[in-house]
Amino acid sequence: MATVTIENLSKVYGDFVAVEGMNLEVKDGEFLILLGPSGCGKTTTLRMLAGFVEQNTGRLAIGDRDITAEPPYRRNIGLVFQNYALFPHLTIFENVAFGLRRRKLPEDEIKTRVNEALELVRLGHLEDRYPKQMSGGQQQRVAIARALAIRPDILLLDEPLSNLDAKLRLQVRDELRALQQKLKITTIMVTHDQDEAMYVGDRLVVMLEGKIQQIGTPTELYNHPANRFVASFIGRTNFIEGTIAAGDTTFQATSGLTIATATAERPSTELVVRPEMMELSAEKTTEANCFEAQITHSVFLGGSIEMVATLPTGDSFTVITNVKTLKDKGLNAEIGSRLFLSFSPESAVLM
Amino acid sequence: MTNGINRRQFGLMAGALAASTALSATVARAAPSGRIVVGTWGGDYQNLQQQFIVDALMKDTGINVVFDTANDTVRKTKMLAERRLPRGSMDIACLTGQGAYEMNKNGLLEELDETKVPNMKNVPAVFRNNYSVPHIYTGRVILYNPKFVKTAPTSYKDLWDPQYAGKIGVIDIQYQTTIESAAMISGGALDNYEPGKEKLLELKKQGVKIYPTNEAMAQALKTEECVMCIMWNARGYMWKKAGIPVEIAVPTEGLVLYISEMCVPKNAQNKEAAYAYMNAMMEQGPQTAFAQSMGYAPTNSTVKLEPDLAKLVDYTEEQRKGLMIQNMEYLAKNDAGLQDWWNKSFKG
Amino acid sequence: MVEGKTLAERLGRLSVGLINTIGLSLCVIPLILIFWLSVISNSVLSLPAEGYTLNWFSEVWRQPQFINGFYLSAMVAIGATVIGMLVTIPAAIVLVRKRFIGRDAIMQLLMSPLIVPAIVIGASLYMTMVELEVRTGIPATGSMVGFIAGHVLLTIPWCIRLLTANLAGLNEVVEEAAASLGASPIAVIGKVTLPLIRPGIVAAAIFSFVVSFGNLEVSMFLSTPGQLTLPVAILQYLQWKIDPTIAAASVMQVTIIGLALVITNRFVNLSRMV
Repeated sequence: MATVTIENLSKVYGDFVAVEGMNLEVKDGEFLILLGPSGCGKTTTLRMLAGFVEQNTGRLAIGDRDITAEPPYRRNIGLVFQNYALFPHLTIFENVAFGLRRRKLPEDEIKTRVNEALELVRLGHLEDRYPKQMSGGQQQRVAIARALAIRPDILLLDEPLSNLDAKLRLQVRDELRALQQKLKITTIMVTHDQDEAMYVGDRLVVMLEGKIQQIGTPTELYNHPANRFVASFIGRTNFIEGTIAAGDTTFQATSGLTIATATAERPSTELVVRPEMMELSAEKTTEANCFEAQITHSVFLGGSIEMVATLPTGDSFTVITNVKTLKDKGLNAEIGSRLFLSFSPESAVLM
Repeated sequence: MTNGINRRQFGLMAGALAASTALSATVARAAPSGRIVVGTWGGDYQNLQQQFIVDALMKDTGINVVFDTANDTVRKTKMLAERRLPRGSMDIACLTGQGAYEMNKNGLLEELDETKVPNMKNVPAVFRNNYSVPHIYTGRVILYNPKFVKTAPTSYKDLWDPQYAGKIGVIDIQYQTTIESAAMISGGALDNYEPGKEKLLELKKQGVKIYPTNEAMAQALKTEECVMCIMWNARGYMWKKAGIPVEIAVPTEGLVLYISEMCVPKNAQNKEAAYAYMNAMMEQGPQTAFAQSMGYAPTNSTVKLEPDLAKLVDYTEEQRKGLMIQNMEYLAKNDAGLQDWWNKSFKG
Repeated sequence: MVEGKTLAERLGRLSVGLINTIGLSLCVIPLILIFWLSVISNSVLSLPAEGYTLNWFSEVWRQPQFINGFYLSAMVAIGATVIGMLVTIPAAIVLVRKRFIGRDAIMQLLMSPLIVPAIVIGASLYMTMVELEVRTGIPATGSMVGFIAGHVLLTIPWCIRLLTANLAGLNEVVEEAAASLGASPIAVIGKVTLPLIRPGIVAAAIFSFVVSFGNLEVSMFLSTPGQLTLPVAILQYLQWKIDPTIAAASVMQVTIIGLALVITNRFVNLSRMV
């Protein structure tokens, strides 16, 4: 168990800057997510931590141990890959024992630790099988057991759920989270899936074009995105362009719409409102922001409904609400209906 | 294999050889001994040498014979490649008459005479030169299947007889001798094959069959797909013995000679033993054996074959006088062109 | 019964079956023909058969060059295969795993013995050895070392092709997983890479053996005087005799090699492709 320190880490491939001047402290026992679209540098960062990619600049440390120049096989890092990367020629037992044999542990200790690891992922009964005789979910659990068996200082997960089908993905995700909380092992996971990230991560690091955009808990990122990219990448968002001066509480949208906000700390030209923060009603409400609107688009998503409400000013807002709320209010959400749309000044976040 | 040796023995022998050659320079003309490498065709050609020379004549001489078996083309390439080596790989190279001529032209061959190989004095003048010892010879003849060819052919012209159209075969690798034979009946000569080309195209029009090798021709004669061809007398003898239904006819145009030579490369390591070996090749025993089993006539005029055998493989005094020798210079100069014509115009 | 909904579908399946049958027959017929020719009593290799006999097999035993040739060919082929593998496995790993300037050129160069006629390879090797001997005095021509080296050269393209194809198909991530678990680069190769490309190694070894065993041209130039490989012995025999002895020799060769492969299969389980 340990902290991870990344200092001024950079990697350049030709003219392509994969990672630029990255600094990051991962706390002991934390589940940290590197999140971003493909090409953002998250995987390169993970591979530099694992030792498979040599950084151009920067320093890496696990706890007090500087691993910058260590080869992969001396870093004592547990790795789990997207495609499981099990050894097809070895049994499940031998797969899990592989790292222990490299450490030349006595046979009975190997046995104990392999069994422990396989019990952790509830696969103790399948130790004689070969990887190809198992399902994808089972294989990924073996890969996790194999990585944990060596008692690594930290655990790195590279898109570990991407190869699983939707149902299995949720199941393995839950297990992964439970296991991490049980073992309290410092874990860094790379993913491009924000739902997954928000579900398992203690903290999320949103990356774009080799740079960290924002670091924070899922709630922080959702409620206070640092920029338009983070806002759009984490959840659904309505963007409104306009102006507001520092100290002011009124945002003047370019469309002519006036929106009440919390006091602006600095001038801003953009404002975001989460679709979930919007309320619909048949009558005008007392909320500072309340506008009459017409439903121009509506999609039924099971538990929730996603609608587009268009204002007379031409502004369109995406609204997500649930079926029950609509029903309780006796609202008709069909296309063409005229309703009132309201949100609090606090929900209007200035960029 | 009796003459198989391993690496260590080879090393020891090579050392011994180096010593012995160094010695031979000072100790003049001791009885030849030591290892010699005979570059030869394999199969029966080698087996007969093993049996009738190595086992019969060389046994107690202290000469240890090792055969380097390959085709003569490989042998020639090796000789040319290793000309700069002080220590050549062969002491004797068995070559065709033409091959020996080429190697001599390249200056690779030791000069030979009867002081070195005493049996050379028994070689008729027609075969003699100063760079090779003729081993065996045969003449070019016509082979025919008497079941289909009722009257024995007397001339190469008979292959053009329309009644055999479609039943005549020629051999791809024998393009030289085929063009040459055609030239001999169309106003050409051994130094002018040109008229033969026109003549061959006539044969082509009649539907001549072209077989890739001698062996393929033998099979065609056996299956009677082909009833007449141009071939060496010795081959005809061997094929007849193997049960192929052919008879041998000597063309009136004359017997063109095929000759198997033995040469000593200039960089041979054990020349004295090589001379002794070549001399033994000319003895009655080996010469008879080659005649008997392969149908080649002896080059040593003192060798007498059984009359029955002589009739099949040897030639009368009269025939011997008429033996014709290919014009090596002409062939060396024109071979590429002949082959080109054969491939493009005749076969194409 | 050919299944299929439409006539076109049935015809399609039928024609695929037909093509398969023809293809397989084309592969097997020559082999059957050789077995047949080895027992006909004709004194010339030809058909129709005049009768049947097993005498040609005893004739093979009377021709020492066939028996010795078989032994020599097998020894040279085994030697060339082993040395070839020792050379090409590391080469293939470097070629597939490392990116460096001239990599493609080296790859092409290693493939080139495939496109150069074997007779040219034989002659060139001989000339090279002569040159070596002229310059250093080391007796290279006709030495067993040179002979086997020539055969190794013949096996290289096959080994490189098969091994690089196998290596390329092997996901590097598996090797990274091994490294992350504490395996040194050597251990990664020994415990993961080599076991995983075993099908390629076995295939390369078999190809090497067969290519070396069957080679004629290089052997003619490089063989040690007094030592004859089986293909050269057969060719030389054929120059003067065309009886079915060579068919019998071929049958024995095919049988012995076939048996050797079956036995090898038992030990290394060739068919268990991972």
